[in-house]
Amino acid sequence: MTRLIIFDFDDTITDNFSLDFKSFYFTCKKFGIKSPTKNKILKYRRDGLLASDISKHIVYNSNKIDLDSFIIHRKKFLEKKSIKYLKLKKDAKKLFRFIKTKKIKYMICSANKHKFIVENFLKANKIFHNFSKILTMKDLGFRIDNSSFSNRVLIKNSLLHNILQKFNISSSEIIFVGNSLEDLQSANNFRIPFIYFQNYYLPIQKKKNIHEVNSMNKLKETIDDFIKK
Amino acid sequence: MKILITGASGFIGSNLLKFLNKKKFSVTGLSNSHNNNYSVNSFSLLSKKKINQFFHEHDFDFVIHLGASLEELNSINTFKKNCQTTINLLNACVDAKIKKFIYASSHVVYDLPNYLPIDENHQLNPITNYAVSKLINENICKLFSQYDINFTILRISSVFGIGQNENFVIPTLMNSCILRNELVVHQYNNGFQIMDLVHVDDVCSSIELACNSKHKFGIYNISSGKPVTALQIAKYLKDLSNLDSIKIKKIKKNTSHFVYDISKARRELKFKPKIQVSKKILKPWFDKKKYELKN
Repeated sequence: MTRLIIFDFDDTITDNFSLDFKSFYFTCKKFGIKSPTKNKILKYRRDGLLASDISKHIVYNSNKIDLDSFIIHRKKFLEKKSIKYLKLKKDAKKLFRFIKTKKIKYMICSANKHKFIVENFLKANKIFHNFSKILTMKDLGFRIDNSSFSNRVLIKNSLLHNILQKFNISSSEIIFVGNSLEDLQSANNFRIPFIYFQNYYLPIQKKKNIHEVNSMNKLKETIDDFIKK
Repeated sequence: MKILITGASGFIGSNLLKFLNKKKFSVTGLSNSHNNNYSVNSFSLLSKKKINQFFHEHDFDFVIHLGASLEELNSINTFKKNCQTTINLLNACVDAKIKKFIYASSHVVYDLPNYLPIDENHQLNPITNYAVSKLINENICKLFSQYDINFTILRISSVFGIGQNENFVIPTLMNSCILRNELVVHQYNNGFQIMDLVHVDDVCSSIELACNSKHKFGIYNISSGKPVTALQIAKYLKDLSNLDSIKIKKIKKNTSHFVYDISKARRELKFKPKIQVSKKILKPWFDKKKYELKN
């Protein structure tokens, strides 16, 4: 029986592309260099490039600026403007209402180090109080660089472990909805059923037993199937 | 209360001897190696006859077992020195009706973390002879817990403090700083390594608290609970030494991060670590090292 649904935040319940593109656009503008187009950013992301890799491309092509300064400015932009440019995915509210009718708790589990961004975004969209808990890297009590894959897996593992302890719940009673390979790997580590939400990033190589969705409506149907099982 | 400490000439042992003596406990030290400390007896725990005789001569209430060999080249020797000695010691404890046995295990029984902070239920995966012997000894203690002895096992994280072995991170950075006028810190693909160091005085206080524990059998992580990176330590040393900069050496591989969950020790032993790695703590140590190395 499903008792808890865990949602990843960035690009799972939110649409981050606009923020992603604008973070590069405005950082380039600040340094007076040409920004990659939307399609170029999309291509980089589909090729599996991380923000740090894209920054390297931009900086090396410009030959004018220091990579570290570029990365710092982009991070500052993200901290300041996330709430403005992040968007809640279409039909997300409908999905949350549906889960509520099933009397199942749901929460956020994010490797984002800025808990205030997650909380303020949810407040701005008037869904903050619907979530039983919001766990981010900040709740682990230590900071760890979340730009590397292995660290992100470790952060997600740590957060999932924390949830299993705090909610006193078994992994089979949980569904984890995420959008990345680290989400999948962490769910597998704890044998938590996983639903993969496709995004504009590098797609996960299709594997057996992965439940894949590409819209909130499809996610609602998949969750409903899980609950009925 | 009469206490026996094995491994009394080691880093933790020698500090614990002083710590418990100050607290007016009647403490006897035992060490495999000869040393100048009058309160430390010297013989091998491999000799059952000597142990039994020793226990017969002293009326111990508690035993704190710190003694261990770090030898990695010969597995048989390590297991003999670390595990056979534990069995001999525990047999003597049963005969002498010892009330409490504290075993100093180590964080190395966990190896790579699946999640952080690592709690006592984390998967165990020792990969060195020393680490395997520590885990075997934990299980030997478990086996002996059927007798009327209370066991406390402390999985102690990396210890720091004045007088520690030169191979550890803080003395290494200090030596480099004083002798070569440079501070080199490794930056891995996944950032600077996060470590959870514990000060030797906090380890001593955790052992004292373990002496008072009424639990029949308990395993506890002992660390500061406040992680630090090598870069942070280097920054403190940079300030102390007035060096201009820290060299960051990029290492093209991932490292493992270690943070330990000490909530069980906080809850059941009332353990409260008091000392963190800081400029204030490092200053007297750094000054002493500087004096020793320059004179």
